[in-house]
Amino acid sequence: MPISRLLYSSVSRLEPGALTIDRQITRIAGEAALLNEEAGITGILVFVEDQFIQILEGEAEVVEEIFERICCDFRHAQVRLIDLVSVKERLFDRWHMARLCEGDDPGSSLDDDLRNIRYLLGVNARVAVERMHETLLSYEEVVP
Amino acid sequence: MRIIGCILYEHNLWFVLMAALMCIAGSMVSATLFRKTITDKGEAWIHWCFLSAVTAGAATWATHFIAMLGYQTSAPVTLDGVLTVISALMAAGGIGIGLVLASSTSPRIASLAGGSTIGLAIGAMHYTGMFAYRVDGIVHWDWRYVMGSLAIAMGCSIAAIHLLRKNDTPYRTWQAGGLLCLAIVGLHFSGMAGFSVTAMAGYSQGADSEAFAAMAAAIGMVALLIVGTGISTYLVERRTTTESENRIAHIAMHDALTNLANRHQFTDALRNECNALGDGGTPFALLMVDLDRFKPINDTLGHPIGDLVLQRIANRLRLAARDGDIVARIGGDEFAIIAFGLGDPDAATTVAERVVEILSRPMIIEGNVVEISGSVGVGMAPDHGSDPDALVQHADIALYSAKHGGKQTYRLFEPKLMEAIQRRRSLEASLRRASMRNEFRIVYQPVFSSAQGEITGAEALLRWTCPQHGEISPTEFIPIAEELGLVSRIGSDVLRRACKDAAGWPEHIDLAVNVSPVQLLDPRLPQTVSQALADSGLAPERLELEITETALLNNDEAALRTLTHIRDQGVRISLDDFGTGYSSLSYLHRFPISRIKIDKSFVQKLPDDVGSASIVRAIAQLGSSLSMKITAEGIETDSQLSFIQEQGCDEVQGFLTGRPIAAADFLLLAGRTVQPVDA
Repeated sequence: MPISRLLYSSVSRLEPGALTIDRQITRIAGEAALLNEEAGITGILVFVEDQFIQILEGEAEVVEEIFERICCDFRHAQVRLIDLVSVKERLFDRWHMARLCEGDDPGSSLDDDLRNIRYLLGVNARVAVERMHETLLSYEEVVP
Repeated sequence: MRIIGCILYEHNLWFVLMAALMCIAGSMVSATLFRKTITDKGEAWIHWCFLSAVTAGAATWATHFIAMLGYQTSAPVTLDGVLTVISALMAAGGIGIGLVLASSTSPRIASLAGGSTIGLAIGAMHYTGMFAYRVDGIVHWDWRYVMGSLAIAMGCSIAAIHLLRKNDTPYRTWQAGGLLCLAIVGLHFSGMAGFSVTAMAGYSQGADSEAFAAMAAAIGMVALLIVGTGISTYLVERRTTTESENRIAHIAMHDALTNLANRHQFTDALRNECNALGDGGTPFALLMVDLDRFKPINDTLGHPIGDLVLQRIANRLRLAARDGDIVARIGGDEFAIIAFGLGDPDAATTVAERVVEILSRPMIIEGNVVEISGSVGVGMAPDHGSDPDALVQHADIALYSAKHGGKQTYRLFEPKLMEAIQRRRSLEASLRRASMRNEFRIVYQPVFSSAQGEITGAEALLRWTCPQHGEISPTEFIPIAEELGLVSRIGSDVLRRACKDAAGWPEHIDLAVNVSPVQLLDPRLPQTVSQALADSGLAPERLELEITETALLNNDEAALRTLTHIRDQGVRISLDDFGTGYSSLSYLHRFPISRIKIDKSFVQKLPDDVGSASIVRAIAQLGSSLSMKITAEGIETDSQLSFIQEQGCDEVQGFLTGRPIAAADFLLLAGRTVQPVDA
């Protein structure tokens, strides 16, 4: 059965309140992971330089529905759909929503890698997706 | 006094209380059922008639029966079962006949005959019941009370039916219920007041009082069940009616596709809110929303997808608006939001901003990526209008301005916009008039050979002086003419007149005429051109049509056909404003283009701007290698002219070499180089 893979970016409108932005994102990703497990969605959420970069993999209809929900969410600004493709296999099949944030592993090259991914988005979306996968694999141990 | 005494001293008050409750409940239910019966028609009427008669009969009878159980007499009592049942049947039957009469179309028969029959039925039930009530003693009836009791029952029933027929308010039903209650109670106790029993000493073989009580209780229970069934039937019916009425009301007030409020509800709500302004209501905001690119979605993806898009948009608008605001679909792709209590323009524009943002976000529908956007016009009440029409008009003006200000944006109404739109409207009217009367002028800007400095041709330019607003720039009036669909007409008129003028010029001077993208879409253009040439006698080789790249976008097949036709007549085609658009080299290759005109924005930065200089150089080289002529437009200084000459451009035009001049002046100028033809 074919799987849809969607890549989008948006600018965060999260404001530090009772929780810091990092904690809010951890919570959002955690909640999303639970819902995604039920809906059969896998993917990754990257947060770098105030920007969300997210990949959603799953059945076309479900991906469509989740993306509509994101588009209806005012915590995002400047939502940009970068890529929507039909793929044979999931790339992130082990993660219902992995998450990589700038500052997760101070002292390593993670932050640079994430900024690089952000730059790649505008150049070659497919390469950006592969790079996100590689980065996730190499920091899997460090990142919560 | 005797009646009150009868209630107080001759009845057990607990039974009286129970009878009273039975009576009140029964009467209210009966009144409600009567109303339903009287107003209904057809088959349902028969059912309602039956149900009402049975329920009311049972209620009356139960009241009577319970009260009789409470009647305290020193004499022993037995009950005749058959007569008791007959009395119940008489009540139900009599009330049924009464209801049939009360449903009559004649008001007099209905109230008088129907009411008195019901009253009589209650009476008949009561007195038959009394015959069934066998007391071992000397029974005495006071006939005045009997007659009086019947009069009360009939009078109250007539009044009740009269009220029920008059109109259909719950209050009236309660009043009628009260009257029915009065009929039953009045009949019972005034009848009982005229009834007295004297016990016969030594004769005390009454019925077994336990068996009597048990039977009484059983009969009472059956009666209660019947009344209860009547109540529940009515309630079930009312709920179904209310539900279907609610559903119909919902359908009438909502848009079927998006489930948003429809235009009807929007108009009502807006009117109410405007009316409330006068009575201390709060200020509010009106947002008019229009989708920017909806039609192409219907055209390319089909209506089913278009409908899904509208549903998504409706949902997004609900999210962008605040809770309690009315979001309405008032046209195909037009929406409106009434933001209640939103008096602060900044708060209103925040909502507008949210609407613009959420509509501009992408949408995936069944695998199709749909990019759409919306524009919003905001009007504040009462500042921008306190009546619905003015407010909608002003919010629409703001919307119009948002759409013309680049779309995907919002505008708050301000009086300045009003002036702009009034100017626009008046320009539209004048422009229509001008095109009917050919009020446009044509001026000619000379084109010089860059090597020899001689006039080689002229570009015809359109000028228009509006009677109200004076000289209007073509950049302002041409787009309006395009929207009004006047461009083809104006264009062919210009072509015809310019050809006529040019026919009088020396033969080495060519004519260039601009053709708008709209004209190029018109398949009659080749015909128009050959007609203009034939009428004026101008040689086709002396005419050149200038087109822009935008004309070739999206419809290059049709454009190619039209241009090839024109070229085949001997007319040349040139590409205007080159370098500003897509500047696609494939156009130069595919289309029959014989000249490129370098846009003045590059020429005017010469010779100091390195970028512009290299672009001009590149275009000039391109021209020579594709064997196309090159014209540089907008030359204003000597240094620009000498740079252009160095690059080998064939022709130049601009304020330096010659401003656009009237036809007669151009004729004089052209005649100076060569012997004038007819000056």
